[in-house]
Amino acid sequence: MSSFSLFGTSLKNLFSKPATKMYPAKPFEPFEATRGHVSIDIEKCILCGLCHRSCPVGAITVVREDKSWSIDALRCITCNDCVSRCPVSCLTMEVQYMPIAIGESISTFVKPEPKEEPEVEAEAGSEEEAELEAETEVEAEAEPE
Amino acid sequence: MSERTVIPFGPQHPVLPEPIHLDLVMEDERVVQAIPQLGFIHRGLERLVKTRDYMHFVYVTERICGICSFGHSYGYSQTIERLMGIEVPMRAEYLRVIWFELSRIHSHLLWMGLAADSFGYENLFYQCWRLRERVLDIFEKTTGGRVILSACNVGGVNYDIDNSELAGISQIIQKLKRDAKPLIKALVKDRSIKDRLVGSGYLSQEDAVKLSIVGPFARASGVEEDIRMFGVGGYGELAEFKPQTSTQGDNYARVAVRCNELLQSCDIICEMIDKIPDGPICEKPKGNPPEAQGIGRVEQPRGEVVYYVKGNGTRFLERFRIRTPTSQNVAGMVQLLQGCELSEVPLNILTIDPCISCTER
Ligand code: SF4
Ligand code: SF4
Repeated sequence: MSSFSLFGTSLKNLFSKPATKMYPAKPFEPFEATRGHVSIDIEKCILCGLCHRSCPVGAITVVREDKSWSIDALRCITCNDCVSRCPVSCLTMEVQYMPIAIGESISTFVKPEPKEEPEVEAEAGSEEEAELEAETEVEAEAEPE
Repeated sequence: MSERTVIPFGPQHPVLPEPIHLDLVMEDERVVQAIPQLGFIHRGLERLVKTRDYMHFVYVTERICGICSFGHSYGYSQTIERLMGIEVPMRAEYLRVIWFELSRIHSHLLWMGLAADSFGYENLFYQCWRLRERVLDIFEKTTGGRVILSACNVGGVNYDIDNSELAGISQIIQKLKRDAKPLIKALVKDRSIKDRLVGSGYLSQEDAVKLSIVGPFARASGVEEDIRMFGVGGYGELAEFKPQTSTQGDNYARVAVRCNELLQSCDIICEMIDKIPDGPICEKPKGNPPEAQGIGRVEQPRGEVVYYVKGNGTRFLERFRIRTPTSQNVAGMVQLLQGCELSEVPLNILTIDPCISCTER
């Protein structure tokens, strides 16, 4: 039996570096493998729909007719299934967590037409435009289980 | 006979982060009867099996409980593999054991911290949780998640750890073991802690067997039972495995058993990392679960968990059922509470390490 058994450890702690990360003085550095959110390189996507079918929570919707790919970030559980299944590796798991969202969280990306075609300017939008678009044309998909 | 009063305990109580309600029937300061009431966080996860693909359901099992997260995905996968006759690659079995034992370390450290907090030893509480952080960092580095790993799946594991990283993990674990020793020494040798723990909350071996108590709670009462000793999966590759037991059966014994298990888990991880074979990490299952029933058991940090699955030939399962350690141990907890002082109630509840989320699903 002993008393003050943690005295040595406490003394050591007094003179050692802080155990916590000194955020925000030092920036937060996530691990390389951290699963933050899914992002897409829409130009590479072939709209095969494999991610749509493999997502366990139905967060991804691929509509071939509109050439659109959309993800509900709040529904996504970052399981990495879509990223590992995509045949052309156009999906990546980013390390940053999604910011806090208010209301809808669906982002839609529309695949731009190939460059040769004349109606490029009129139809296709850049990614930012597509994201802007997403905010207006989201459709609430509440599917009761 | 003095007058009886009923004191409600919980569902919100500082000593427990999870909701359990007890009606304590008191005679002066002594508890004469404890009536537990469960069901505050029932989420109906078992029912979801009918609407989720059996491969996707593993993500639901992970969310049954944050602390036993990996264990549940491991147990579910193992049960489905047995039902479908899938041979899991050896490297995957080793990786599963490594992650599973890591989660045991983090669960026991978490519990040790909570226990220290409950008898007022704040310093020890913070030190235990600081150590636990290292395990969570290993999780995040290897799988990308701190709590929900999504690493285990039917047929194998989703992530590989390369051998140089495994060597690094082995070093971290050895260091963790060295750093855990002073904390364990404080927990099992410190006079103030011993005064508080020795002799309180006694459960005899006979009662433990009669009430089907499982896990460290049973082993502290001298019941030598641990599913890991049957060598299922990667555990069959261990040179030897002996359950950590004690014969005292009191709160002190339960603390000591968990401390020993923590050190044992460190050894298991290092042994597995030394012996891990190369090879594939996943064997993709073909077809759907057949029309049959399957049973699986794993030893979670809190004790034995039994999984029951029933397939019907489609990709959805017919029935899924879990028997969790706490649903067994609540009977023992009620037994401990009968006749104890009111001031001992929080500690007696905590030393069985109840996990209400698992129990209610
Ligand atoms: S799996 Fe890849 S290529 Fe196929 S639709 Fe999804 S993102 Fe596009
Ligand atoms: S990470 Fe998982 S949950 Fe998220 S979109 Fe991909 S498959 Fe769906």
